[in-house]
Amino acid sequence: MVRLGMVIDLKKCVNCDSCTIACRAENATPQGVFWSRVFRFEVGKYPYAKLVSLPMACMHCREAPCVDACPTGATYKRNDGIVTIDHEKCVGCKYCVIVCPYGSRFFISSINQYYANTPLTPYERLARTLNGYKHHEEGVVEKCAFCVERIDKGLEPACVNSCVAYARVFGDLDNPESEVSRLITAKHAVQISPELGTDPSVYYIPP
Amino acid sequence: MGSNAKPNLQRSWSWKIATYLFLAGTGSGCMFAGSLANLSNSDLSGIMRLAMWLGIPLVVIGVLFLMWDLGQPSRFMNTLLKPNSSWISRGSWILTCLLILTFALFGLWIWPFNLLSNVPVAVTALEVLIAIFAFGTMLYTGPLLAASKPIPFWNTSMLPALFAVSAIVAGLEGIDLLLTLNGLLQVNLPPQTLAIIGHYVAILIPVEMVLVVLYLWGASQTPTGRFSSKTVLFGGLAAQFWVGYVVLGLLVPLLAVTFRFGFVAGQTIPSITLGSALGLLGSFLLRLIIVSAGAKRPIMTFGGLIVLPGDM
Repeated sequence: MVRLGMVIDLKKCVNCDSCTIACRAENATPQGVFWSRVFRFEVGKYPYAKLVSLPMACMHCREAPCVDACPTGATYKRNDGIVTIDHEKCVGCKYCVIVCPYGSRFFISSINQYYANTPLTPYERLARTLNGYKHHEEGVVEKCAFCVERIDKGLEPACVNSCVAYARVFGDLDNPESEVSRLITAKHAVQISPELGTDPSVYYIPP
Repeated sequence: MGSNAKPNLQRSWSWKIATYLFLAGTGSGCMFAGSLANLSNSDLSGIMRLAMWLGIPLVVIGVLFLMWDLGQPSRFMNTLLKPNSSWISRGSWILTCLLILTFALFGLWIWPFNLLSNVPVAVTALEVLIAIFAFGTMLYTGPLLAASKPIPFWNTSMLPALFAVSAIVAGLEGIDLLLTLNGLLQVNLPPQTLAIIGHYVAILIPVEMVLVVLYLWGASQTPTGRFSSKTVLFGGLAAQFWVGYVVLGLLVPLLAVTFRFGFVAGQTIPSITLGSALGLLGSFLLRLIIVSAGAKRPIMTFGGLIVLPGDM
């Protein structure tokens, strides 16, 4: 079986948010909606304190609570382990938002233009007509789907492709020879909140 | 964020869901109590009829609130698709079955279907099924919230018990309210009916009080749950909890039932009306407080703490 996943090396991450922007550009998410984000927090105490950046998106958990919670089957897992949403089936009950421990889901209550009281930007105009922006729908839940359209074409997710520090590696977690599997073993990569039993498919090499 | 950062209260579900929980709970509590009363004592069959008249509109209106909260209400029927794993789907099935059964019972009261009511076994079976599905409706909202592992305030086995007892109390108080208008509704009931209901309310309110204490104590065992409990007891929800729920919703109704013994149905008794109305208010506030106080536990990783926004 294939189980697609990602390793993010926090030692390499330079906190540039290019993954955030690449995701935005690829998926043309509505105003205020970021499927991929970088959280920042401080660890340690002065004078040894440092800032840690933690890029986060959907964890594509093997035991995904959102898949079980979804009453309609709109959220489902593909054979390659990617958790995705069929927006045509979603009723917008927000139960998946409630049960996701990683805050990776967004309920789209309204779709607004990026800048209020100004015309649509050229990018918005283009995105709404060409780039699948029309697939964004009010009243449903959205999230990162590892750029399934790109993966189905043999490409990497946009965030991986755009990472300037090569901090993100994408591949098959079930293949022990894959680069992600080797990194997880060699660099002792860890999952976030493994105690919840969700078995995320995104691993982090500690900073 | 520092290690002392406070979690955010969830904002995905709000007063519309709380109203649904209240109306569905009260309506089903009503039907459950009415069915049991009728099955245990045929003299109380009027209560069953009263419970149906009250319970069905409450459940239906509650479902409308639930649909109002949906982002895509026109796809509501999709919620029936996954009863094997989703509590929302299970609840949709339970509600659907309950409404079909109650409409079938209504049909038996209307000509020409009332001729079928001469088959007592069928009527009894219908009433038993209504009691079962009404109990399911009262109960399922507990696991619905309790299944949310990231929200420790909800993720407790005490919640189903608390919701079930609160729903029965609210259902009895709803019947009470209608009974005080008995003359208007022309329901023939034995004179001791109000005393019987008062007896059960007097027992169940203290049970609910104990369950609330145990619930809040249990929820306080984790840092995020403790934050939610503190918000309820001392924070932004304290006035709703202490004044609205504890005093007006529990203590006043409990005092009111102690004055009722000896009164007879057919009288409009202000203390009963007031006590029951406040009890219903308390039942609503309980659900509103529990829904509002849910907070998602922060992500603790790599020595830091990430507090998730309330709408995630």
